[in-house]
Amino acid sequence: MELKNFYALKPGTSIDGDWFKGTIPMNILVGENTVLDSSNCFKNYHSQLDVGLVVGSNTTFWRTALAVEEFGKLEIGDYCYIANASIVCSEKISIGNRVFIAGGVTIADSDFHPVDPLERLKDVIALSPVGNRLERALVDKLPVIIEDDVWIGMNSTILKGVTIGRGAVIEPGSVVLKNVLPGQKVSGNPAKEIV
Amino acid sequence: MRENLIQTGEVDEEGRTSIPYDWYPGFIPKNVSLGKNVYIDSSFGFAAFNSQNKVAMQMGHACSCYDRSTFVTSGTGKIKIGDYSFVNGCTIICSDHITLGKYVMVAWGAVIYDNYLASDLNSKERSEILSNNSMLENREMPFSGSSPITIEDNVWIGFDAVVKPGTTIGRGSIIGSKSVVSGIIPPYSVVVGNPGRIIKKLEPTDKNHKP
Repeated sequence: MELKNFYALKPGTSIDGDWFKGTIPMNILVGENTVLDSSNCFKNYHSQLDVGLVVGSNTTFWRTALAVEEFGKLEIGDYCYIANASIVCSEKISIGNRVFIAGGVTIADSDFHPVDPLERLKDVIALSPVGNRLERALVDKLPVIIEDDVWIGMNSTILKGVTIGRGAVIEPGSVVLKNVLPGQKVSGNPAKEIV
Repeated sequence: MRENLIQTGEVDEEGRTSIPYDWYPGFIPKNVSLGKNVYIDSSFGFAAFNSQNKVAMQMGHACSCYDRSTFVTSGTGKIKIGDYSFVNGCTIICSDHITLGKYVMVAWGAVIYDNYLASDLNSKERSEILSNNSMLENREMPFSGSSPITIEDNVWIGFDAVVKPGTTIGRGSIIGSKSVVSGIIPPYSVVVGNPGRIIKKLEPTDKNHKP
């Protein structure tokens, strides 16, 4: 047993030397030379689809939450570097190639709970330790698409339905609610273009 | 589909509860009273729980605390969390009273603090507090000027939101992600931004809900 910073990401395995006693799920497709720091990345991975996560080759995950709900599908390309981010997917999040995602970033394709007070209350009960998650309320899910060569700065938030165009730069601390065009640079809450 | 999350801990001779399979070698203190079917994923969040009250924290039926939710208290802090509420990776800093009602959701990164942590003091007073704290074995936070917080039933606090001292959030309200709120928020408000402003009122559809 040797403590290493990164281990190969292989479906259905547990990592020798991992500080977190978890396993890598079976229903993932992974390319060559993709690594992660710990199975803790999959602590909140619950996808029941045949393939809930597709990752390309040469991608790096470090202290990242790949949280996927029962019917969620997450796609990530080649040569991405994702450090200390939370990717929370209830239906579809797609990340291209050579995307850099910095610390504290949250990417979510849903608000996860209903706005209506009564529906929300029932959702809380369904989520509680005595509840049934299958009785959870239906909420809007809008896919998030992040194209190739995007850079997402620290503590930024990308919310449901957003497409970030190729080569765009999301400055640190941005909250992105609307599409970002290819090559654009955005900043602020809500994020706006800066030149 | 998911494994049952209900865990029952063992209680030692000092009344402290340990959580099975906890990665952190700590305890849930004796003065934390847990309702039935409570789930707490680690005792890590109680490492700075310094309250000396006989009952310093109450968690109702079917409450849950996920992912390093942290409770930092001074010797006088009192926290109450109502039935079915869950806190998911947030920080609650309490030196007076912080009360969460039933069916409350608090998302990751949110901070709820009921005292000014010396920000209300001048620099001389602050340096005094900091030097006093440096003498304490547990290096308590520099608590000052507390003012209780009440969060009523069925409130949803989004991720990275901050709830400042003295805030009351009315029933059914939503505090948007990354907002900073203070003062009195009337029931069924949707609040966003820093400083938080009300952008919408919700229909009180949950009014007749009977648990």
